[in-house]
Amino acid sequence: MLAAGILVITIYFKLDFYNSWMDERILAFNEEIYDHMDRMSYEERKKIRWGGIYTASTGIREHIKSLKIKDPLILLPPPSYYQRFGQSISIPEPVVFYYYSGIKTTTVDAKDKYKANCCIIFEGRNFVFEKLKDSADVARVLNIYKSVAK
Amino acid sequence: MNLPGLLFLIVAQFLAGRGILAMFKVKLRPLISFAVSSIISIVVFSLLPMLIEMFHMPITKSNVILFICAATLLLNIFVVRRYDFGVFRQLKIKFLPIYELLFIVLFIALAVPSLWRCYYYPPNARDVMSGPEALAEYAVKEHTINNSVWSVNLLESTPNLLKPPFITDLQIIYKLLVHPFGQIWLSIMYICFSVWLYSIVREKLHPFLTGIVMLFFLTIPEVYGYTYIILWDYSNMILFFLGFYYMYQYIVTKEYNLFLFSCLMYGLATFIRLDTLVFIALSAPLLAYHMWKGKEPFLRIGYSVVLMGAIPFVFYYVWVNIFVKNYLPIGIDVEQQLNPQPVSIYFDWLSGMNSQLLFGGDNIALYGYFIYIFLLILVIDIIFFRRFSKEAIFMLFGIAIIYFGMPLLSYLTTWFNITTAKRGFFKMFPMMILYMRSSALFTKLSQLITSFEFPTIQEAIMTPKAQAVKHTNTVKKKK
Repeated sequence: MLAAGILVITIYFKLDFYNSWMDERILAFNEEIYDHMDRMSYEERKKIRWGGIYTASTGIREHIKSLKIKDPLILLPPPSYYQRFGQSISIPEPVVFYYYSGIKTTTVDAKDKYKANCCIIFEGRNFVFEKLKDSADVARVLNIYKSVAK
Repeated sequence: MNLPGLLFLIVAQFLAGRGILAMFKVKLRPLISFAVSSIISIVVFSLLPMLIEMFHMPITKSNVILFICAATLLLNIFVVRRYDFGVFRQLKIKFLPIYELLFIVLFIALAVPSLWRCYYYPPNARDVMSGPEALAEYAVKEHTINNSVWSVNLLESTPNLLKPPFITDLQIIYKLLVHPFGQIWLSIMYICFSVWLYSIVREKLHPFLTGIVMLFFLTIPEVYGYTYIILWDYSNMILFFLGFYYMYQYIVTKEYNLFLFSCLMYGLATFIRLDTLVFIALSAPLLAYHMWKGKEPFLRIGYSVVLMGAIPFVFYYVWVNIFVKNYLPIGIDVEQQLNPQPVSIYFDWLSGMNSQLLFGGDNIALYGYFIYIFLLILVIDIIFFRRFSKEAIFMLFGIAIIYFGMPLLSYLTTWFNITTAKRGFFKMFPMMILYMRSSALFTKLSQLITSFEFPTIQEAIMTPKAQAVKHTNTVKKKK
């Protein structure tokens, strides 16, 4: 029965699909574990799992801190705005960004957009953060987004 | 990782679950009792942070521990006299045959990467990140579920925030007591469910075939993936199946306590995913039919069906009509999302699910050959054996309920999409496994293997009297 058991398991994992599944999901763990053991801090684990978006979110947090804005609420441009300048920047949805960075964001179609006190705008050759003074300032930026993204 | 915290939860979960089992007079062997108790009480404990919030108390480590201790005590205090500690005295160390060990070692090898990934990685699924995980993280920081996450622009995240707090609450508990990423509860559910499923298949099939059947289940790629990625569907599958299994046990044994237990399991399944109510409603005629066939009085059939819907509905009502309306700051009526679509959409989805998920599209990548294996066994049973046990028929009905019920969700709510169906079909798979354990083909193979192993008892096995004696994981009642 033992031989039969080994035979059944071998045949099962020789089937093309289960063979590659075994390689990718189970046997890959042998290499994965050594890599993981070298990077056990919670911060590293977050970076591995969430990738560039998480790193960018925490980077933005540090930058906003340096601007010393009280209770920052960042107005994000629509994706077409980034694309207009040949960039494919993806900033996660507001809840996820808040989870990653502790900073609130809003979008051009949200109700709270006029409460924004900071925005992302293309200036010179880069995207930069700009402080917003009041709702008129927000309206001005919204117009820029609208005109550029057309 | 905080090991004492984990140990505290494992013990509390076992004791609380044991109390529930005793309350419903469900008697199981110690290991199985541990597995089922842990599964049930993980879901029961997921109610606690919501209750703390409803009592207007802060969600802190000490309050969570207090509520866990109180719940464990309450669930045991009235039933402790019923405990049969005799089962522990009967504990015997039994050496398993080496071929069975081979399969068990393989299953452990499959489980290890899942357990590690669940421990190592933070949550990642988008639906969890944009709702429960964010809420849990800030609930730990701000001591309330009604926290600053609700002040963020939620345009894209509302449905995930309004799902019952099963994941949010468990993440809060496990973040506070065990690990900053939470999640370990999923590994406990995975191990416990695998142990329980193995044991119930092993009751009827030869261990060699049990190993093969479990191998089919444990290597379903999409299901395996969700043993370390937290979402609602894997846990929902377990609780719905527990409800369905014990409903069948009631039909077989006529022990009404098992029916009530199954209603509670359905209730807990509803607390994980509200749409479970649809599948429970579709299962009601099956119960009514079997009760009618069993010559139960109409009144009893009537109130049993009502009870089967009412208990899960309480879980739905408490969340949607009490907690969301009164304790959360979002001005959305969840019931408004129940929005019947044109009937034609049902058939569009049914066809789409067949072509994209079950028999085409990504079906192999999602479910491997599992569905084809099940169909092959079914076809062999139809062509060569032409007989089906009561359990096999019951499970086939269960599979049909999920298969035809899934597109119904698309008809009822606008929040339905193809990924809902993709993971919703998980609920069929344990039923397919139970079909396999009672299929004519596997029963025959089981007998053949046993007679091959022990030729001298071949005759004894084949006699109807001997067949009636089943291995069972339930503990015999005291005379």
